[in-house]
Amino acid sequence: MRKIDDIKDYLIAAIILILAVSLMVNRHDGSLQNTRKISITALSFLEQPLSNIRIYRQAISTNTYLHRQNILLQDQLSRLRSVEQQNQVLRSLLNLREQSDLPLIPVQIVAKNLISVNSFLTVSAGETSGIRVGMPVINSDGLVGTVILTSNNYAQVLPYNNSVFRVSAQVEGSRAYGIVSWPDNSTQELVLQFVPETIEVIPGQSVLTSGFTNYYPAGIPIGEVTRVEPGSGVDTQTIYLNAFTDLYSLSEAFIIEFAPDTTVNNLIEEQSNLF
Amino acid sequence: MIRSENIRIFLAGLGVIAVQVMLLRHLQIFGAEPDLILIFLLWLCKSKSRTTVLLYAAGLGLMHDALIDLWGIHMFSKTLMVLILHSYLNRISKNKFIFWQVVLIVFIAAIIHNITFFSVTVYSDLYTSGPQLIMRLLIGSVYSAILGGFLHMVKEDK
Repeated sequence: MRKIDDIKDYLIAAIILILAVSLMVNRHDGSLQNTRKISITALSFLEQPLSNIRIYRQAISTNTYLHRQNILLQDQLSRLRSVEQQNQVLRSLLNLREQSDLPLIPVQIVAKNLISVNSFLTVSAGETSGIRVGMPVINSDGLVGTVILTSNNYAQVLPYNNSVFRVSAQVEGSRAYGIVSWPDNSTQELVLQFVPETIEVIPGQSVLTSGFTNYYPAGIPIGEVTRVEPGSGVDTQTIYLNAFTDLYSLSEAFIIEFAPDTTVNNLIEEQSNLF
Repeated sequence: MIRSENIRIFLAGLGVIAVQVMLLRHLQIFGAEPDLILIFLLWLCKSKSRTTVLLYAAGLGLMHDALIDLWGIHMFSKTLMVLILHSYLNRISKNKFIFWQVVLIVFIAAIIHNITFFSVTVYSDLYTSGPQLIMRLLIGSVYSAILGGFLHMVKEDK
């Protein structure tokens, strides 16, 4: 009896297995297509109640992914902005180099002290690069300062925001000459003095080096006039200007290989010896 | 009475398929899912004749296949698994089992089922990645075994 049951079971199993194999083999046949459509509809019906939960779960994971992407993109954006800023600086430096007739030595600012009374900059080139004391330092915006100390590979620069800094300057478009110095009360504000009151100076005019002192070549931009005040008890006016160069963001500069004319210097010495 | 019991089992089988398709199919670990239908068939093997369980295996396997569009694959592997294991499971059905014994039995049954299942799927070109297939085979079997063990514990507590 048990054998008969076994044979029956094996027969049933064989039929089922053959049916299963035939389904596997013919699952892409046209005859099954309608049944497949019905089964997919049934599955969709069964899945519907849970689909909202799944959508919510997926939305959470998508949200996490987008958060991560957002942070990465923010990082990338800030890097690109930084690179763009550097690119603009370098481009303007290159333009300056192409436009300037003076021999220029490109330098990098390796040390900077702008907050103490004795402010200074240190640049990455020295005597071996041909840098000498007294050479003007500029960047694409304008005057930075002047070289005051040199070693073989480094040089120290006196920036315009030092109380002992002086430069002979003129207001662009007029023949008003004076001396630019740092008033010691603002980071980027300079003052031009000894300009006669008879000469009209208006805010917005540029102030350039005059070249009269034989220390700086003429025509280096210094700053833009912001306000003009009459001098108290004197017939000259006090002109305030905003320096073109931002020393705080300065990282590259050029040193002008400018040597004072010795003949002019000798004459000045002779003149001072006379009195 | 017999007919009503069969209807009850059949309805329970439909419920198991619904849970498998609606819930367990989405609770995957490393791409592997537990097989509640297999556990249900193993439970049936304890008390039902081989003929009955073979027919349930074929029917439930076919319905499962129809819902996930794997026509004939679950039907084949589940029928073969019942054919191989029914006599042994029926023979030990009088024993009392503890958790790890149930886990081991379900694991062995799941391994037999999954080997058949993946052999057939490889034959029918449904899976092409070998390492992924082996991972699913092992993890799916462990996952089913743990689920079976927990269900056994819940049933015992009642």
